Amino acid sequence: MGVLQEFVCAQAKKARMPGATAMRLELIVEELALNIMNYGYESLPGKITLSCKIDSTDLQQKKFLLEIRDKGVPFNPLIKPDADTSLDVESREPGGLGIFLTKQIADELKYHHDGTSNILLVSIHFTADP
Amino acid sequence: MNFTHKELNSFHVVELYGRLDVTHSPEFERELQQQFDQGHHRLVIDMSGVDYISSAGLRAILVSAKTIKKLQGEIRFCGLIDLVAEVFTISGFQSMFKIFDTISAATSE
Repeated sequence: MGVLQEFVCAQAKKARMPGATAMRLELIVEELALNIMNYGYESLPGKITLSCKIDSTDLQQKKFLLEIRDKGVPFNPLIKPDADTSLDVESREPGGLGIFLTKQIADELKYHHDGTSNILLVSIHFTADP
Repeated sequence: MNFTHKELNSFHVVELYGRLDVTHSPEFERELQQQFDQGHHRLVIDMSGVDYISSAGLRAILVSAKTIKKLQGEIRFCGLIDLVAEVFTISGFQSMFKIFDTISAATSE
């Protein structure tokens, strides 16, 4: 997990992404990678491939594009029903918040399966630090 | 993850320093369980030294809150900053717990 987050953070730093945005990106990487490890690969060893690219077409609002691939069980995590955030401590069951947080924090999220891999595309918008 | 403890106005205050991620959250959960076991049932968690929390941290908080509720106790939070405040709001934890700006506000009510 540390390796994945460090890689993405280093790329974010190069793109001069503000620290607060980079932290949100780190959160998304943790949640999506954990989801793949626990469900996609059912806690068995498996490969996760991350790639990033910066879209600077709009200089005011750059886009950090992250692609996460795995060869685990084909599954679209985005169709998971959202957690009910209105419940109290007693009624609330632990779990199910990782993907929910990701959906709320990412600016864009897209899933597809290319016949071999699950592919999730994440986009985070930011204004680069001077 | 580091913890410091103090007693204030019948509350046991735990100040956290570090990240509440998948690696460190189990340690946090054990720490709180230890406080419950020692008879501290009214806790204030000062989060001002925490700059990162993921769903693993939320899980540890919820599990601990469920335990303390059964013991008629309570967990309050203070010092939520940046991502931590945002994650509390999105997840509904903001309305599930009593949240304060400072330790003194959290322990004086």
